[in-house]
Amino acid sequence: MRQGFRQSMAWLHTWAGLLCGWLLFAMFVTGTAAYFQDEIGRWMKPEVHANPDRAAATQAAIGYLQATAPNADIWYIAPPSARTPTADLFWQPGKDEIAARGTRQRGDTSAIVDGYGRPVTVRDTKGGWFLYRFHFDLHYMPVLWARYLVGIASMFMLIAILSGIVTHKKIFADFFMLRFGKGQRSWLDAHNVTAVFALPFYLMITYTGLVTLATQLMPFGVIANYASPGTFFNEVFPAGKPVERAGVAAPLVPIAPLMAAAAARWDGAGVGSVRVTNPGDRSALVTLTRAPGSAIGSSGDTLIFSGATGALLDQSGATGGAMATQAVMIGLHAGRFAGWGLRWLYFLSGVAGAVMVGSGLVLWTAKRRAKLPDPAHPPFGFRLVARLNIAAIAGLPAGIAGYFLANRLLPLVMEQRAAWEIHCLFIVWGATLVWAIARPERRAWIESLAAAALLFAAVPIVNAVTVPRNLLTGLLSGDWLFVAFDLAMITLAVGFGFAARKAAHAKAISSRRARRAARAMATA
Amino acid sequence: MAAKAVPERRYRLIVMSRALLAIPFNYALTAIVTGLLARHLPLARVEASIAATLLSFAIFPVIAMAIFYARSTLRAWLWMSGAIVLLGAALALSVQLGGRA
Amino acid sequence: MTHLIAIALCITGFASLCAAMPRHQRMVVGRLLGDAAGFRLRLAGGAALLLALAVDLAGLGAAYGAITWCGHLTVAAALVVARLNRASSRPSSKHRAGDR
Repeated sequence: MRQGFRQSMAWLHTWAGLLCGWLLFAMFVTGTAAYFQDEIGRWMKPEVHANPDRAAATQAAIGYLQATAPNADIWYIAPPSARTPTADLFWQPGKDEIAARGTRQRGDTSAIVDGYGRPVTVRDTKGGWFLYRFHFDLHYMPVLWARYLVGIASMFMLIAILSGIVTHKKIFADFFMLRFGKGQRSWLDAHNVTAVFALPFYLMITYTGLVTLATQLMPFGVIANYASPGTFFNEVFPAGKPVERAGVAAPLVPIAPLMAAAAARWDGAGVGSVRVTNPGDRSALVTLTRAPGSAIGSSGDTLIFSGATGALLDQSGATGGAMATQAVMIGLHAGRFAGWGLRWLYFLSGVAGAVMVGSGLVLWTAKRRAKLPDPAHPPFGFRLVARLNIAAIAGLPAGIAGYFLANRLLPLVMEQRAAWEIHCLFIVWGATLVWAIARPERRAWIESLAAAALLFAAVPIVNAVTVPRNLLTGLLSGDWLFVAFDLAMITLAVGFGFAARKAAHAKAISSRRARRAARAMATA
Repeated sequence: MAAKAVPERRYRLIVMSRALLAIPFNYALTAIVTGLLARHLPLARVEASIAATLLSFAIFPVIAMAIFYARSTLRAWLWMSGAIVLLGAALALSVQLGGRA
Repeated sequence: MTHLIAIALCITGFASLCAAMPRHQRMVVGRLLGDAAGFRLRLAGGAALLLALAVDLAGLGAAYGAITWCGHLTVAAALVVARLNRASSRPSSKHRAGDR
């Protein structure tokens, strides 16, 4: 740590990177997949039918709520959009209802309906939403802990990026250098090249990722000014005072004119969410929030209408500079505003990030392998890192393929179906870890990469057998989602197959080299 | 990396000592600086709180890098403890005099 | 369309920047260029990247265009490096200036 700035930063980069590399890899993979969470969700619910008229679909969802929860205090509707055919519904039961039931069970106060207001019951799944939540909530652990872990890993990542920039003094001189088949040097090239390519993206995504968890990770900016955090949040999100029920029944006005009025006010932007307070009462309020797809800043504008007359009562005021900055940062991170072109660019940058972290992890072992005093019996720490690398890099993608397969193969109606799909992901991931520990290291690399390739290749086949929508029918009927999904699975299968072949090839070279070295030793 | 220059045990001690500074102590200092910024940035209270929180994610890595760069570990300890005591006192004083919402 | 034009400009830019570097010149141009030619190539490369930014900003708006430009840079750089890598793995160009 005394040999100058660059060396001290190289040291910091190595260790900060290794300590959080596995978690960061998982975050990159699931986060990247989450840029297509709505599309993944649609693929995982192939039975659901969309309604091209979004106002009608929203009205149908309201119809479902009127039949199911007429006395609720609040209805919350995430209407179908261009990317999701379903509406997500939540409601807050009225006091009488809570009293009658004794407890408040959350499962009973939410539903998913299709574009025609029919509840989606078949093929219970969390869809792409699970990958999105795993990206920052992980799984099988309390959300709060998970977010601290994710936050710590992100901060390590930010430090690794900054110290990496400082370390690599020839960052631009080496910009175009990528040499394959040269062992450690190739891994270094791959790490450098993928790091430099998308550097602005990494800095942006890491910083804005920290900002999404800002008040949990660094609550002291709020604590210094507010004795209770509640006061702060009320200032940020003025929720409006709770409105007392008038006790006079009044039918809710149709939603379509309100949505049209909102679109006119927002330059044609869609409605991201609908909240109905005191439905069925004269005091009912309808709050429309602007869709995040229409602007980078994610905290949307809101309009409040009277539910009985349809008159516009209130609208959200302009927010201050810092709040707008925060909204833009969160928006940049989630990329909900992105159209197709930019969404694919986000996706590719995320893939580059996964490769960058993965190659950095492998580089750690490649660098040290050459210097091992006894290569046949590496120390425990080295073996641990080598095996965890395999489980992390090949195991999680294999697990995601397993998740997709489970969606098609589990019985359509079963207890805890959605939970079991998720268990399948972790079963495959865990099996890869066991495999990586049980087998010789190089064999384990080849076999788990090949397994991931096979699992991804199986997805289009299993899909074609179990569901009437697939690549071919999609091409014929213009069902582009299924075309794209199958093509993506095939691309991933080819990619992992290529990696497995490369690993097998590298093994052949290195064992030839080792044999030659052994012969040289013997003759000497 | 400095392993050649110093004995292994001493090297590990230095690493642990700097990690202690760069993570928990750094967090404490960043929290204090964030609190001070939140109170004294010339913005509305909500705005200042948010702006300070956004800045905190830039302050933390810079301090962490500075700690690993510091020429001597002792010097890093002195700087960090000095800053925490001084700025912490300033923040405590500011809260005492100004109060919170 | 904006995407395609911007990516094409970025590829042109990176290819010029690459050709401006002596270590890659033998492979890209076939011979070493002088300092003056290298400088002109660097200038042209930088200009092409800036032009791509201008195209993105004009076509997609300030905020959206700026982020999209970052994505275009990434894609273009990846394509140029992939092409360069394929060229360099051909046996005829074994003796590269860049090898250390």
